[in-house]
Amino acid sequence: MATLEEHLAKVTELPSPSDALLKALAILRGEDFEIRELEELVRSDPSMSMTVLRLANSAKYAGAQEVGGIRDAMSRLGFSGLRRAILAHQGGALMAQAGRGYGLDANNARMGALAGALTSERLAEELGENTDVAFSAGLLRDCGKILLDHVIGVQAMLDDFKELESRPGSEIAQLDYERETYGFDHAEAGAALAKSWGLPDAVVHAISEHHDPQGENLLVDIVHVGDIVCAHLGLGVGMDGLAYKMNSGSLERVGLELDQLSHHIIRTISELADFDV
Amino acid sequence: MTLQPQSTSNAKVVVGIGDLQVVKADSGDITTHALGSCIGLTIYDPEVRVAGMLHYLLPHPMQGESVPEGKMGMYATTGLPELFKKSYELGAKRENLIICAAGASNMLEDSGTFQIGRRNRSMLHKLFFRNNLTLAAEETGGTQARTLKIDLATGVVLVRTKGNEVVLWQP
Repeated sequence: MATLEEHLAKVTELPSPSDALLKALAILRGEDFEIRELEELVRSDPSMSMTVLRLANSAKYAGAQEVGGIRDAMSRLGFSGLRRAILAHQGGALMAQAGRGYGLDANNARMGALAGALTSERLAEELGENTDVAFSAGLLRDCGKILLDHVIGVQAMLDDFKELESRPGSEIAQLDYERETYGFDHAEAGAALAKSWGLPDAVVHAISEHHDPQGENLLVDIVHVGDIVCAHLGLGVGMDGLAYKMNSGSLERVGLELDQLSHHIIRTISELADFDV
Repeated sequence: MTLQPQSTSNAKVVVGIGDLQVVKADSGDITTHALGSCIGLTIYDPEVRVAGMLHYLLPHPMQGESVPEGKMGMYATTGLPELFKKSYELGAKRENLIICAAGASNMLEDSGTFQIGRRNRSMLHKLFFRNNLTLAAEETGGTQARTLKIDLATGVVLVRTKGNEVVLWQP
């Protein structure tokens, strides 16, 4: 069985994020940008402009008056809101490609990414952690699925799921199944991909550990809980289903009991409406 | 060009997460995607061709939480009565209703303290027992994600899991 490194060495052209997404992510590393640069990015893309308009009129940013024009919308969002809109729009488009080998359709994949971003961001805010990093890590947590589609092949993966289905016996955890079948899992693949894109270490680490938090980093716990909320909502979930381990230590460290987890499930599905297409 | 006679209505309805819809139509279907720990419920009155679907997320609202009109479908305790009420408004009769359920999957939990899928299913059974209702068919539990669909012309209920579509109920 080829290792992840051997797979990566064979791939000549890796799927990569758009320039706009890389720019929005570069800010996380402390690179300086003028707000004008973000505004130009938004103006150059009609569909991104629509996202900005919708967000400016959503509950999070809406003022007394509805904004009709893109100029007003951008000034209402401000620098951080604009960056968030770019992340959501471009990251959502990138993540829509993830998981075809899991039988996941583009819309569900995109919604799963956004739901993870929104939940992680909200948890980070409650816990006083960096909300931008949490949003990005929650958004891109499953990017390794793009790599799996690429190196294993969509049809081969679907065939493997069928084979798994016919296997007698008890349910196997998805990550164990991936390691057993491919020699690596999508979290590991995601970290390798995110690293090749030059994403900040905190984001790479959260992607790498998002199914198996070790308790040494609250951001990892946050993204893990974001992922749990998505699984319950059936978002970002294909043939793998809900066969992932829920780490109760993570939930404890994030301070969630059943009522709060339920609360986040409801909040996420409500906020997701702002990003519906 | 001769136009083919159209059916009086051909409804294609998608029920969102935490939503519910009821229609009266001769043909078409109602679908909900992405059932994880949530439960999808179909109701169908074959006599008047009224069909409905609910996709609820949780058993009940939190203590003291008021549920606005548009969010009734989020919970079993608010969504179920609303689903039935809307079907009666379109002429459905309680004694005719064929009711099916799918969903309520669970993640692999190390503590077993959350089990939202199991809680959703328990609430469904409790509400049905209390109101003297029966489920015609049910496919719940496990770890799989499901898509639920009801055909409005026939009342056939289909569940799609892992790329396979199976009939949950048919006349």
